[in-house]
Amino acid sequence: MGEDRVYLRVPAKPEYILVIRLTTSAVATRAGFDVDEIEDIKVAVAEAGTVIMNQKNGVGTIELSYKIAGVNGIWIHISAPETEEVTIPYTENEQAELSFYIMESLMDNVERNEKDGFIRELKMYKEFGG
Amino acid sequence: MNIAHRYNSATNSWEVSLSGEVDVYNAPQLKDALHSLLDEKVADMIIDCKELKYIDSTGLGVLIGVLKRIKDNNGNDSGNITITNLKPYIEKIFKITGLDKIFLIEVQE
Repeated sequence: MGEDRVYLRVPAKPEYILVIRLTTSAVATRAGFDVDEIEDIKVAVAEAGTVIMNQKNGVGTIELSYKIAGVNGIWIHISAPETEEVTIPYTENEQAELSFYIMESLMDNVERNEKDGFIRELKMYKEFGG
Repeated sequence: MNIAHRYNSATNSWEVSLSGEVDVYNAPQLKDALHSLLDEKVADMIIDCKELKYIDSTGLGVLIGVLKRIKDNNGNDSGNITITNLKPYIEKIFKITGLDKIFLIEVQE
């Protein structure tokens, strides 16, 4: 498989976390990960979506971009491109600490694009067999 | 997500059966349900997760809050939540977060 890309854009509302989980699971399956890896990726991406979502009250959007990197693994970017005002910085949310433990344990690489306690984007990578 | 419960007077504990998926959408419902049991009677909890398919950090946060309330009520740090029949891939989340040290965990065979 070459460098295939998949995109998903959902309202930043708790009821759409299920859509993120199911889509992530499907993309990871198509990419060729095994059952345990698919579960890891699904859980990590849902945590990322939850962290970004919990920073703001009210409607915004969450964008996900999946890049299947050939025979190596998958890059996933989770972002909130339209969010201008943050009402709850993630650093004030104890839940976020648990989320990061989970993400960083299950994925091979997790990068935060943050400013003033606000995470605008999370990038994560999982290698096949990693 | 579904929650069923009964009070076991012999063991002085709430027996809760938790099934389905717990995430940021329905974690508030789980929180309300478990705290309403404690409103009725503060006691240890045994949570059967045989049919639990998924739980995220918000669900874990609810369980932490409930355990804290039980311990605060009892004083001297006593009181427990026992989590039974966890699927191995969910137990992994408890281990990653260190929560296997604060809850009593029994894994599904």
